[in-house]
Formats: sequence, C-alpha cells, structure tokens
Amino acid sequence: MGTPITVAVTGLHRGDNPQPGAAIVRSLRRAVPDLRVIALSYDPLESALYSHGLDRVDAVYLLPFPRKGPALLLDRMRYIQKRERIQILIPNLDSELANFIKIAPELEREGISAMLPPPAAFDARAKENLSEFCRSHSLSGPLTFAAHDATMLAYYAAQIGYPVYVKGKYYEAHLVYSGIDLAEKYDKIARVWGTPVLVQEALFGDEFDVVGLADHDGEIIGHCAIRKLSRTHAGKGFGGVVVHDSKIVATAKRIVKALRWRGPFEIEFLKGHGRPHLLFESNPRFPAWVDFPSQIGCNLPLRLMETLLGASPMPLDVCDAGQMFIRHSVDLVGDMAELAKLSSDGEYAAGPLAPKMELTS
Amino acid sequence: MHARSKPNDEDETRGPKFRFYGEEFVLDTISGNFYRVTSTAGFILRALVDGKEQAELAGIVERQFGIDHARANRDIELFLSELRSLGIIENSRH
Repeated sequence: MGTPITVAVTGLHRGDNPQPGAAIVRSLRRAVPDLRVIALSYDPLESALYSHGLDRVDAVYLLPFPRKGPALLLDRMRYIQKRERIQILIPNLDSELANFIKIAPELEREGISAMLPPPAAFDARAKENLSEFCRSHSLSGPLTFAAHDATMLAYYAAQIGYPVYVKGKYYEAHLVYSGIDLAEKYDKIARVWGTPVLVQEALFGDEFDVVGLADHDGEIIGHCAIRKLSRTHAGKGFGGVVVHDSKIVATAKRIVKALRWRGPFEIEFLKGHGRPHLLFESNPRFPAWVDFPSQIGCNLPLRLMETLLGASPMPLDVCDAGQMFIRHSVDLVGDMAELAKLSSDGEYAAGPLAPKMELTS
Repeated sequence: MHARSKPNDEDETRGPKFRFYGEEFVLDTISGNFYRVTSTAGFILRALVDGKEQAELAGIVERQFGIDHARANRDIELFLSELRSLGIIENSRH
C-alpha cells in the first residue's frame, strides 16, 4: 500500500443544524477506504470528532475563529502542515470561506490544494447581494435588504411588508411578524454573526436544492436536484427526494456560469403554486446532504478530490428521480479524555479512546 | 469503485413525468410531490401518461368500470380539473 491521500475537512458537527464535513468524509472514505482525514475544527464538541464509523477522522486540530482573520488562520495551517502532509483542503463553512480564499495561494505553496471560487464570485452570491445578483441576471428572487442597524432594518421591513425573514449574513433566520420582534431578532443575529443583518420577503412554497461541482470555467461537472421532504424548525432539510426538473437545472447552470463559479455549490430555490422558481440562496460549499447523491452514484466530493489530485475521474451517474433520503440521528460514544486533550492542547491525533464497536461489529 | 453507465448530463435527466408505484401511489418526478390515489384515479392517470386523449379516455373508463359514457366523461373532466388546479398537469394539455 502506498501513502494514503490526506484530506483536511471543516464543518464536522451534525446536530439539528448539520454541517457538511462528516457527509464529505463518508463520501470520500466509501470510495477510498485508506484515506487519512484531518479534522479542522472550531469546537471540541463537534460531533463527528467522536465518530468511529465511515465519517471518522484520524487527527483533529482546532482553528482560530473566522473573525480572527486570515493571517492567524495561515499561521495555524502552517503549524498543522508541519505535522500532517495535507494534500487536499475542503472547507465547508460559509463564515470561514473568505479567509480560506485569501490564503489559498500560500496554502498552495505549502502543498495544500483547494477548489475555491474567485473572490468576486464569492461576494456576488452573498446573501446581502442576492437581490442585486437576481436583478442583474434576470432571475426571480425574494426582495432582500441589508441593514447595519435596527432602525434601517425596520424601515426595509415596512417597505417589504410583514411577515419577513430576518437573516444573518452566514446563518440563522427567523420569521418575524412585527417591528417588536424585528428589533429583538436583529440584536440576536448581530451579536452572533455581526452585520449586516438581512431582511427578506417571506415567501412560502416547496424548497428545491441543487448540489453540484463546477469546473474552472463555470461549467457544472455534476449535480443532483432535490425537493426537501421534511424541514426542521430552522428550515434545514432532514429529508429529500430527487427531482428531474430541467428548469431548475438550467437555472442553476445559468447562475454558475454567470458567477464563473469554481468548486462546490448548493443553490436553493423556493416555488409557490403557479409561480416560477425563486432563487433563495446560493451557498459556496457542499450541503450537509451531499452524501445522499454519493450513495446513488454521484459522488461529488470524490470528483472534487480527483480533480485536485489530477486523477482520472470516475463518471458520475444521473441521480434517479424518486430516490430519497431521510436523515437519521445516532448517539456517538466518546471518552472525556479525548475532549480534555483536544480542549487543552488544541489538537488530538491519537485516535478514538472509546470502544470501536461500529468498526468491529 | 466501478464503471458507471449513465453520464451526469442534463439531457439524460428527462424521463416520464409520473412514476407509478403499484396501483395507488404516484410520484411527480419534476415537482417531487407524491400522491396516494384511488385505483380509478391511478388508472386514468396511467392512461394520460400513455398519451390517451380525453375523448378516447372516456370510452376506456366506460369499458373498464362498466359505467355509462356521460358519467365517465364527467368523472374524467372533474379529475382533470383537480389535476390542473393542483398544478399536476398543465392547462395546455387535455
């Protein structure tokens, strides 16, 4: 056996607001069993750090929070790279991507490859720029305004008309019915995610998602489109069914081409009865359900890795309409010694201490 | 890893709009909505998918269910109206 491929992945928590990292590890390890996975984490309690299954990791390193900026992140990545020979980096959190995009050339020189969008494309699809993007590309989308204080937010909300969604620039959204609730939600979101805080027209209907991977020229290499079957109270999809809607796919292609996007993406649409699909969000990463298409022949994380390694790629299947997924929560067993080591040292590379039942049974 | 037979290409994603699972369950492959239907509704929907026109359909339903032509026509018309109002079929067809 040769030296295993080493991949670093972020976003490894799979709670009620699941992040994509564990799904990506599952997709990759299913195809490449001897893969070495380095977890880059912001919280010692990210759930997948304690997995013994397909989504297990081989070593964990804590990262500085994104608001600390790119310089600290680069220092930390250089420290990690002296201990690990990371070849591929797959960042999965909206809040960290701007930093990783900034330090991508330095990481490349350190031997770490990533498939990241150009900075202009990353900014153009940001939530606060969504309305302008829709307008300039003749796409239908919900009316959205960005505000840096509660007064302006209330002004924009009144223009739109209640109810409205109040959203953080990276995460979190609340449906708000009055100005009283609006101020409270503004404070809550601004405290956690900073400003601007967004106010968006509340539209209701079915949610459709397209996950995909784009090449260097803004062309889609592979994709899977679903309708969300069930959602959490925060709107996160906990189930979905593959659809074959050529209009959605054509719109996704237009968006990706217009942005000259490169790398993973998730584009979300909303469709009310008798209305066109509205562009709801365009996320710069794989979604948490990316392991679903991987299991039905469309392994996009694997294709990403193959592309970065210059390996000849496996063809991707068309995802068959009617294939569906239902998310399933499980209890992982950990040992306090792992948490203690990770919390104290900021890294943990000794492997799981808790019983490896899932691996041996 | 093994070789795949179908490329991931938009042209390949077009298949029948409706997929039937037994007599009483149907998936709209474009919207992702699925429906539990009566066996009669399922029968009519299958006939529509097979390309039968409304005029032709009434005769088929009449024979299949032993009802008179006027009732078959009315039932089909009501059913098609419901499908249109739900956006399951388009106004231009039938």
